[in-house]
Amino acid sequence: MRFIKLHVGFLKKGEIKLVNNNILTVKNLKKYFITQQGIVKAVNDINFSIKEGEIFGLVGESGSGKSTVAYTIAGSYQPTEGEITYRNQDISNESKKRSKELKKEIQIVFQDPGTSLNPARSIYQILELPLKVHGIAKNRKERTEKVKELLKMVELPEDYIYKYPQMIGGGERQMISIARALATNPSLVLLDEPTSALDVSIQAKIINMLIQFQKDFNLSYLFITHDLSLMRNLASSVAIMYLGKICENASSSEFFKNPLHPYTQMLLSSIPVLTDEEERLKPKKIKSAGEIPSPVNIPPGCSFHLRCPMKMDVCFKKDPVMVEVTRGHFVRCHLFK
Amino acid sequence: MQRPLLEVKKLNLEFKVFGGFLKVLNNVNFTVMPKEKVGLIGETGCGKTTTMKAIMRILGMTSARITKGEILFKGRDILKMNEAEVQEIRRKEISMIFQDPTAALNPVFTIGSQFRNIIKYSMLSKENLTKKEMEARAIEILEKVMLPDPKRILKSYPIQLSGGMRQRVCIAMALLSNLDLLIADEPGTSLDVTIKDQILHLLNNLVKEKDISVILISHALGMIKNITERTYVMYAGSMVEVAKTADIFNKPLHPYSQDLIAAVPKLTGEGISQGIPGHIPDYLNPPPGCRYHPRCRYVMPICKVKNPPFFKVNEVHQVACWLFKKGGN
Repeated sequence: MRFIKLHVGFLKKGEIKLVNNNILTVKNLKKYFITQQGIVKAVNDINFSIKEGEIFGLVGESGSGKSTVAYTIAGSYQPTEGEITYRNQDISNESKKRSKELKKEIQIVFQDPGTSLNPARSIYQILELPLKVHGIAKNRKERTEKVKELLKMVELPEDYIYKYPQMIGGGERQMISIARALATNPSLVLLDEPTSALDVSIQAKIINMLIQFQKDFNLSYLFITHDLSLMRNLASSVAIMYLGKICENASSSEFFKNPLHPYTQMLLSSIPVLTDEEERLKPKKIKSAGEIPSPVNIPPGCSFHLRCPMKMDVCFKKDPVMVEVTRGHFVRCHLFK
Repeated sequence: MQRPLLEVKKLNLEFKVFGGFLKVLNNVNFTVMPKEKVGLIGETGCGKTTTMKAIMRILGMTSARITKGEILFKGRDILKMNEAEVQEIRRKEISMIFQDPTAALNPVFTIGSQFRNIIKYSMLSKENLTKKEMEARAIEILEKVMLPDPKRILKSYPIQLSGGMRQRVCIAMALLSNLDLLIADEPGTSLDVTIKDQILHLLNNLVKEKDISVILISHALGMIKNITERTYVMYAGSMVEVAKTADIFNKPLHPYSQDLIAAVPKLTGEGISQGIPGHIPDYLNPPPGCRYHPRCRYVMPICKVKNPPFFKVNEVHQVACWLFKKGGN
C-alpha cells in the first residue's frame, strides 16, 4: 500500500547540492494581471520559503492573492517578476517550459472538487491519466492495479473505478483529487483550500488523511486556507496575506501566541470559537471593520490602513517593509521598527 | 405556560424522484418560543433548510409532499392555510435570510427598485407612500445595517456590491416589516472571517433591538454559541438533541453531537478528531430504527429496529438516543 519514493529523475542529474533544507523558496515574486480596469497586482513582492517535510500555511481573505501564489508555483501563470526556486533549481517559468520530472514533483489540489474533476471521465480515467503521462505504470494491467492501490490509500472502495465524479459525494470527490495529486509520488503538494467546501466531519477526515500522507511519504505542503483554527492544528509555519503582500510570517506556535500585525489580530479575534479556553487565546477584541478593497485600486502607503485601528500618519504615505521582530518572526507594519 | 410562537409537530416530508420517494424529514419536532433565539446545527443534507422552507411554504410543491405532521404558527396550521394567508404571513410575520446573497437578489433590478417592491407589497402598502417616501424608508433601514452611502447603493445593481454588502442588503430587506420570526439560513457561510464577524454582530444587535424570535442555521458553531439560547442538533432528517446552547457545546450527549462538535478544529491546537466514519444515509432507503446507527460507536440491538423518541435529561435538554432511556445504562 505504501508508495516507495523515487527521485530518480532528479538525483541522477547530480544537480542536487543541499545547501539549505528548503524545498521551495519564493523571492520577490510578483504577478500582475492586465485588465480593462487597470493593472491588478494580485501578488506584489512576496518572500517565503518552505522547508523539506513542512506544512506551510498561507492564510488570507478572498481576493488577497493566495490562490495566485499557488497557481504561479504550479506553473499555470508566468511570474511577472521574481524567483521561484525548487530544490536549488530555478522554476520561474511557465508550466509548458518545465520538464516532466518537475511537473511530477509539484502537484496541486484545487478548492472545488466539483469542477476540478472532468464530469465526462470515470474515476478510473481520472486516476489513470497521471500514471500514463508520467509513465509510472507500463501497461493497462499495471495501471489498473495502481489505480486500485490509490483508491485503497484514500479509503474508497475498489468499485469506484466505474463511477463518475457526479455520482459520489463532495468529500469523496476531494479524496479522488488528492489521490490524483499523489499518483505521481510528488514531493511538494499545493493544497488550495481543499476542505473549505466541505462539512466539518468530512474535513476532519480529510485533514487527518493529509497529515498521515505527509508523514508516510515525507511530503511538503503549501496549505492555503482562510480558517485559522484549522491552520493552528496543521501548519508548522504560517504566513498571512493581505492584498498581494505578506503582512506576517512566523512559526505556528509563535504566531498564535504572539500575533503582532493588527490585521492578524483582527483575523484572530473574529474567529467564532466554542470553548472558553479558546476565548482566552484570542487577542483582546479588535473590532473588524471594512472590507478588503479591490486589488485594482490598492490604497497608497500601507494597504491595510483603511481598516487598521492603530493607523498613524506614516501609514498613509509609506508602505512598511518586512522586519524580523524576534528570530523567525517577520512582520510588515510601521508599529515595529 | 407561554404559548410557543412556532411549533413543528411530527413533520414528515418526502421528495418524489425517479425511482421512489426520498424520505427526507422524519418526525421533526421543533418549537420556538416568542422572542427566543434558537440555533440549528447539522451536516449538509440533513434537512435544515428543507425544514425552514417547509415552514415558509416555499418548497417546490410539485416534488415535495408532506405526508404527516403540522406546523403551528401562533396556533394556526401553516400547512392548512390557503396561498393568500401564507403570503400574508410571509409579508408581515416571518422573514428569511438566505445563505447566498447573490442568488437572493434579482440581478436585473437595482437595489432601490427591489426595495420599493418589498415596501409596496408589504404591510406598508396601506400607507400609500410616494416613491420618495419609500426611498427614505429604504435609506433608513440601510443605515441601520451600517451600509455607507445608502443613496448610491439604492441606485446600484447587486453585481456592483461586494458579498458582505449584498448580505447586509438582504438583512435590511428581511427587517423592513415588523416581523415576529426571522429565519437566518447560514447568513455568513459564503463570506470571509472578518466580514462574517461583522454580519454576526450586526445581526445580533438588530435582533436584540427588535426583540424578535430567531432561528439561526449555521455551520459555524461558534456563531451559534454567541447568539442563541437553545440549540437543536439535526441528523438525517430528525432532531437528535436539544438543549441550552451552552450545554450542547460543553456536554453534548447524543453520539452524533459529540462527534460533530469534536470535529471542529480548535484554536488551542490539540489536533483534529478522526471525523465521523461513513456518510449521511441514502434517503431513498434510510436505515431502519435510529438513522445514526450505522455510524454510531455505541450501537445497540434496539437501535437497528426502533427509532428513539426524545428522552428528557433535564427541563430543556432532550436526547433522541436509546442510551438515555430511563432505567437503561
